[in-house]
Amino acid sequence: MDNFEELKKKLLEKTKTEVKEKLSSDEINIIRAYSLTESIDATSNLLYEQLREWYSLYFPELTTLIKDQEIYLKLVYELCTKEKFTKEEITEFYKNTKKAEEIEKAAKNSIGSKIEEEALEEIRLLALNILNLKEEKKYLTKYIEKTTDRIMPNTSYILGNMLAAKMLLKAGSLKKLANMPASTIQILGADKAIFLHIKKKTKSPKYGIIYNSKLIMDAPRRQRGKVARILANNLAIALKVDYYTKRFIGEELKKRILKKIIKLK
Amino acid sequence: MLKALEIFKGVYKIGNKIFTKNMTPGKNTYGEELIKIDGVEYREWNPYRSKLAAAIINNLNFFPFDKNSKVLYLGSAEGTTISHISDIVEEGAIFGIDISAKAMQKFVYLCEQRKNVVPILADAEKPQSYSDYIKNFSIDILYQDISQKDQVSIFLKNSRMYLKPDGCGILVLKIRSISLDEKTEVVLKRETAKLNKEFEIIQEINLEPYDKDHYFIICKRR
Repeated sequence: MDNFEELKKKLLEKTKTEVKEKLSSDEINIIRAYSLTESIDATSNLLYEQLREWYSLYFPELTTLIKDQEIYLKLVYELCTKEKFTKEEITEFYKNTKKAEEIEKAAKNSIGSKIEEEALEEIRLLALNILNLKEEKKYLTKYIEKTTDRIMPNTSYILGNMLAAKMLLKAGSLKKLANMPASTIQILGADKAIFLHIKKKTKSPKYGIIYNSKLIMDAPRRQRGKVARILANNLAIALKVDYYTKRFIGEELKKRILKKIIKLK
Repeated sequence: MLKALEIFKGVYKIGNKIFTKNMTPGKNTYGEELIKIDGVEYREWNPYRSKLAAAIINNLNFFPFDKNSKVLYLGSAEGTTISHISDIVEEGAIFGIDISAKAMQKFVYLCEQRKNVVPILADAEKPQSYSDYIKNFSIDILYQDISQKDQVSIFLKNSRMYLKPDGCGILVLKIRSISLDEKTEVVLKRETAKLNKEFEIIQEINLEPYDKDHYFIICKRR
C-alpha cells in the first residue's frame, strides 16, 4: 500500500501543475471575455427595456424622440426631472440642436404622469448601472481586440476580432479550430440547422458564425452561400497559420478572397 | 426511527433514497444531504447526478464493488460518482481519468480529501499514455462514462491493457453521442454486439427517468 500512497502523491502534484498550465493560456481568457460581453449585451438590453418602460410613465415623449440607447441613458441619468430638460442642458450630452429644441418643447407639454422623487432616484441609479455595464463591455472589447490580434492575427484580420473570438468560444481552443476542415468552419455555430438537415433532410445551412462577417453581409443574397465557402476555405488556412507559425499572411489571403468574390460576378 | 438497510456492499437504503457511508464526516461534495443514524454519517446518492445511483435504483442485480476493489474510472469529470465509489471501496483505489482541465480542477480538490482517489489528466483514447502509473495494479473494475462516438472501442482498448482476467466492466452508453438519427434500439444492439466478442453482458439497464437515452451496461470478461 506504501507504493500506492507514493504514487498518489506524485500524480496529485503532476495533475495539479498540468491543470495549471492548461488553464493559463491566452485562449481561455479570450473565451471568458467574449462570453462575458455576450452576457453583458443581453443583460443591459433587458435592463434598458425595463428602464424605458418605467421612465416613460413619467416622460413618454423622450422614448419616441430618442432611439439611441446610450444617449437616452445619459439624458435620464444626468437630467432626470423634466424641468431640467432645457436646450442648453440637452446639447451638452446630445449634439443635435434641432432635436434638443423638440425635446425641450415636449418636456414642457408632457402628458407623463406624476412620479415621486424616490422612484425617480431609483430610475436614475439604474441608468447609471446600465451605463457602467456598457463601459465594462468597451474595456472587454478592447482587451479581446488586443489579444486576438496577438494570438490569431490572420483570422482576426480576415474575419474581425469579435467574430474570431466567437469562433474560439464555439470551438473551445485554437488547436481544435486549426484542425477543422473548411466545411466545418463554414457552418460552425449553425448546430440546430445542420442537425435538422441530418435528421429530417431539410436544406443544409450555408453559414454559421461567419454569416456576420462584413464580406458576407455585403454580398448579394444569391451569392452569400458561395462567398461563405470562399471565406471558410481561406479561414481554414489562416487558422492553421495562426496555430502553427503566427506568420502574418492576412493581407494576401484577403486579396485572394476579394479576387474570387469578384470572379463570382 | 430511520433505519439503514444495506442493499449492496457499502450501499444503504434509508426511506426510499440510497446512501453511502461518508468517508469525510461533516463534508459533502456536491451539495448532497447528510444524515446521521446511530453515530454513522451517510451521504445521499442522487440518481439525477450519478448514473451508478440511477442504475441501482432501476434494479441493478450485480454489484461488483467491495472494500478492496481497484477501479479504473474513465471520464471522472468533477467526481460526483467517484466520491460515492470512494466511500464504498474504503481500502481500495480509484484512478480517475479525464481530459478536461476545468473539470480536473474540482476533481483534484476531491482527491486531496480522499485517500483512495488518484487524478490523472489524460486522454482515455490513448491508454498507453497512463500505463506507467497503472500497470503495477491489477484493476478489478473498469468504469466508463464518457460521451464519445467510439466509446465502446475505447472501453475495449482500456480493458485489454488493464482489466484483470475475470474483471468486471461497467459502461454507460450515451446513445445520442454515438448516433443522432438512428433509433435507440438499433444503436444499442450494434454497440453491445461489439462488446459481446470479449465480454459477457450481465445486465442492461435503461436509466430513464433520470437520464434520457442512456444505458447502463454491466459485463464480465469471457
